[in-house]
Amino acid sequence: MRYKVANHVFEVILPSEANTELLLPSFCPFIYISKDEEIEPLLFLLDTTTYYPQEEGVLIEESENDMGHITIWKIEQGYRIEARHILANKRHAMIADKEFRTIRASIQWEDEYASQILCSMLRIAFSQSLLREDGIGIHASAIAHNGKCFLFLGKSGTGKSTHAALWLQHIEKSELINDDNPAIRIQDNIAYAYGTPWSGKTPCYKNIGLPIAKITRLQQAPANIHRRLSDIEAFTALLPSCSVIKQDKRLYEKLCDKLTWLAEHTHIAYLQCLPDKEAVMLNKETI
Amino acid sequence: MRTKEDLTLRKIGNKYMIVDTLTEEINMVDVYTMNETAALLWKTFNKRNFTQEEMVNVLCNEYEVTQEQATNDVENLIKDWISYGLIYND
Repeated sequence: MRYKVANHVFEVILPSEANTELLLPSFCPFIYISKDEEIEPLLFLLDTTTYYPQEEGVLIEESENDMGHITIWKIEQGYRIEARHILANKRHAMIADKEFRTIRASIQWEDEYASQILCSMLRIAFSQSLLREDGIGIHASAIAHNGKCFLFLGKSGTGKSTHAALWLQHIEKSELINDDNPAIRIQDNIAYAYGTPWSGKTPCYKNIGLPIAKITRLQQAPANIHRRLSDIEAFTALLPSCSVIKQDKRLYEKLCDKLTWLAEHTHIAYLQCLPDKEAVMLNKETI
Repeated sequence: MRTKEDLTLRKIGNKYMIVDTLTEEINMVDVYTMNETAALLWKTFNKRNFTQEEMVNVLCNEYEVTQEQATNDVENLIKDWISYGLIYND
């Protein structure tokens, strides 16, 4: 099955008996049917049918969130990424080459969380291979308004989703594009934000891309204070929200290149805020 | 002295920075800011061995400073770079 997310095509090979729509429901709006004569270059290929066990690697990253426990190992040909749902003990793995072009995954399909694990693996594969090209996977909520996109960043629990929900409540003609993991692409010197199949707890899977109006880092505060950021401050505001394997020097450099461009060419702000309408108006109107 | 491998000096707006990628803690980022003078010295000596005297000479050639001022500035800069792990002093 092929999907097109942020205008990049990737392919997922599943066991022949798998029901794709049940397994990857959030990917349905992104299904890509190619015409015979055109050959789209693939961003990556993830094959769940030809995994083979590998030698031990070196653990380079470990993280746990409500989606699961993920470990990343450096191995000779690239990376092995292991994933386990926090409520299950089944361990799943994928092996990617250094470029994240060809990925082989071993999914234990009997795990009741297999679908979520596959979804997480695809998110990692997508964000790393996107870095190789012209984009970034970023933790953010994304709102469309007047044909442009506003992104809200912040540490987990800061209230990105709450702030986005307040936009929907108070701003006419605003629309949620994604609530957790949109993609950014820089094309012809314009930064765009795209909806993706990864949207956290909010089921919002929109196959839309819009020019970015503004990126705001949010922080909870007892009062609403807005400050525009430039240069290094803007760069530093973006970096912690981006999905990257930090130990991968090459991908990290690519990320820094793109963030440098964004810091210089995009409206980036820092908003200390309350969860209220005033915060939304301040964010929307200070531009 | 020599600079740590694989550090990239970036110009952003009219400022300079080095982003250290090998921070252990997730989501902790070390961004080291440099002014134009420091950036010039970094560019001159990156990826090779150098001495304090060589740095002072560059400053004296490029800017209107006394030997004493330059030495003082370079000493402070070296301390700073060592404390941020940007250079090795061997």
